[in-house]
Amino acid sequence: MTIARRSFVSGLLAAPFAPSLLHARTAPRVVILGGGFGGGTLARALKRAAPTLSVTLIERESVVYTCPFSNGVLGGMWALDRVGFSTDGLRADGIELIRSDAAAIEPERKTVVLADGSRISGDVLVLAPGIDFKWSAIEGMSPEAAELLPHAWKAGRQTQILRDQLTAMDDGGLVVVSIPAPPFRCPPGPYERISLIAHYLMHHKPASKILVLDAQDSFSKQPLFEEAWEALYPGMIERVPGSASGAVVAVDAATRRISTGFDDVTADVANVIPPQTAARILIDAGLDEGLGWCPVEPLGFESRLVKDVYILGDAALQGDMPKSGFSANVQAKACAASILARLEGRAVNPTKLINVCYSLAAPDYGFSVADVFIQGPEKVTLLQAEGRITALAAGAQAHAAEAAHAKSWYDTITSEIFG
Amino acid sequence: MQPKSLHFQFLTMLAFAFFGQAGQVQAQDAGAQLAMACGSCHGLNGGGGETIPPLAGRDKSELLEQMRALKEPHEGVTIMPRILRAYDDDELKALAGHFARMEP
Ligand SMILES: Cc1cc2nc3c(=O)[nH]c(=O)nc-3n(C[C@H](O)[C@H](O)[C@H](O)COP(=O)(O)OP(=O)(O)OC[C@H]3O[C@@H](n4cnc5c(N)ncnc54)[C@H](O)[C@@H]3O)c2cc1C
Repeated sequence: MTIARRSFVSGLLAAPFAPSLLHARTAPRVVILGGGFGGGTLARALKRAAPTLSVTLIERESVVYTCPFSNGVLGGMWALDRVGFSTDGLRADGIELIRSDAAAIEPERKTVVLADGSRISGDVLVLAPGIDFKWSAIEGMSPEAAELLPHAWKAGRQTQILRDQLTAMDDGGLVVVSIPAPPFRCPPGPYERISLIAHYLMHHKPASKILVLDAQDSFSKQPLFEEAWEALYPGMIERVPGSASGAVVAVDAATRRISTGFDDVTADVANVIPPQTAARILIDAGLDEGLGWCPVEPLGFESRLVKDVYILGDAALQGDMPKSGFSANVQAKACAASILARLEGRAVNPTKLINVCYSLAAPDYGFSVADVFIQGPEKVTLLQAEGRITALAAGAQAHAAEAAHAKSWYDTITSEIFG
Repeated sequence: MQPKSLHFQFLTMLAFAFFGQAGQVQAQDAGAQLAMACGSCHGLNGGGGETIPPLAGRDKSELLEQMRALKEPHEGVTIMPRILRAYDDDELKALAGHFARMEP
């Protein structure tokens, strides 16, 4: 015990964090913005490891709707409720939840300014507010236009609008899905969505078509999606890649006219997913260094610009890790370990991180990309470039097993964050 | 004196909460750190999910053997070979030791 204390104290004095802490009278306070996959996981992980730490979480929503599994709502597999979680669960373990909209961040002061003008400051600030849209990248797109041409790329009301449009559409209708240039949240997400919309149409409106206007040439798990589309939805999906002028450049919300600059089409339902950036509140605070996404170091995801400010999830440039809920969850645990190590004045060693993204091509037809990363000196680096996805021609049993694992993953991760 | 000792007490508690006995810190650290990523599917406490098996409280050598075997793709196995191929035997041992120590 004595030895432990002595080494502990000398470590503390050596720590860069020590001076502010030594003057503190109470437990250090960690302030977290965003109660989604990154922020929600972090708050729970910190409180579980260090119950006496003061953890404050700022989240605007009373119910968080997860993007993962929201494509199932569009496919008619379940209702929106299935992906909605009351943020009351985030109060678990003694987390202080502030249900409020953050208006600004003062990184140097580790402060979040709320919409009502009040200021929440900590010793450590963690930012996980997700993404925003670059509306101006598509002529005619705006938050108002998205009421008619829903993106459904932040789940909740937008998901329901798109679902209602699909159910209201007549058989034989044309659904246009517009996909932006990367990077965007969830690289395989648009293609899972196309699959599950096709699943719905095949069973309820089989004469309908899906036109995919894609700014990308190739995409995540492409051979697996194309194999599934051929088998399950032959002739229903047509995709125009970026090299064939697939990128949407203009829309007219009132008439649902969608233009690629090369061609125009009038949709019955149009799901226009705009290009994306880190949440604007981070860009306004200068934390993106003009890049549109926030640079972070690879060990604990601390901002490269401001000390004791950490940025998790979709908003950050996380090396080779994709913008997924799985990644945000894993990053949050590594971040918690880093924060606690710094409070203790101890260095943290690099480790290996994982991302698995399941996609459903139909309710019982799943496949995945499964990756391991190492926290390198410069960035988080993918370890194996080959053989990352489910094998082609895997067979019905393997696809059913992966679909079941996807549900198991989703229920475990959401109950641990929100339950 | 008062504020300083209060703070000292807090930090000591923090250290023990996260790292346990100081002497065990080094040995347990690698396994616990690697296991953070496993928890996203197998559960934070290693309890597993509906179709994803639990790991907590498993026999260490049995679990180690199973992980070694799962490095190779075979019938009925989905994602684990793609993950486990990235871990060397020392890492698998550290992971097996970590999960074996967890409460089932
Ligand atoms: C259709 C779709 C399907 C997907 N499927 C998967 C999948 O199967 N698996 C997977 O791993 N990932 C999936 N993703 C990706 C996943 O949703 C994101 O990567 C993940 O949500 C990122 O977590 P985050 O913490 O960065 O952001 P979020 O989870 O979006 O959390 C951000 C939180 O911050 C809050 N917030 C933002 N700004 C403020 C403010 N100013 N004041 C207060 N609160 C604020 C928001 O309300 C939100 O709750 C999918 C995404 C989409 C769009």
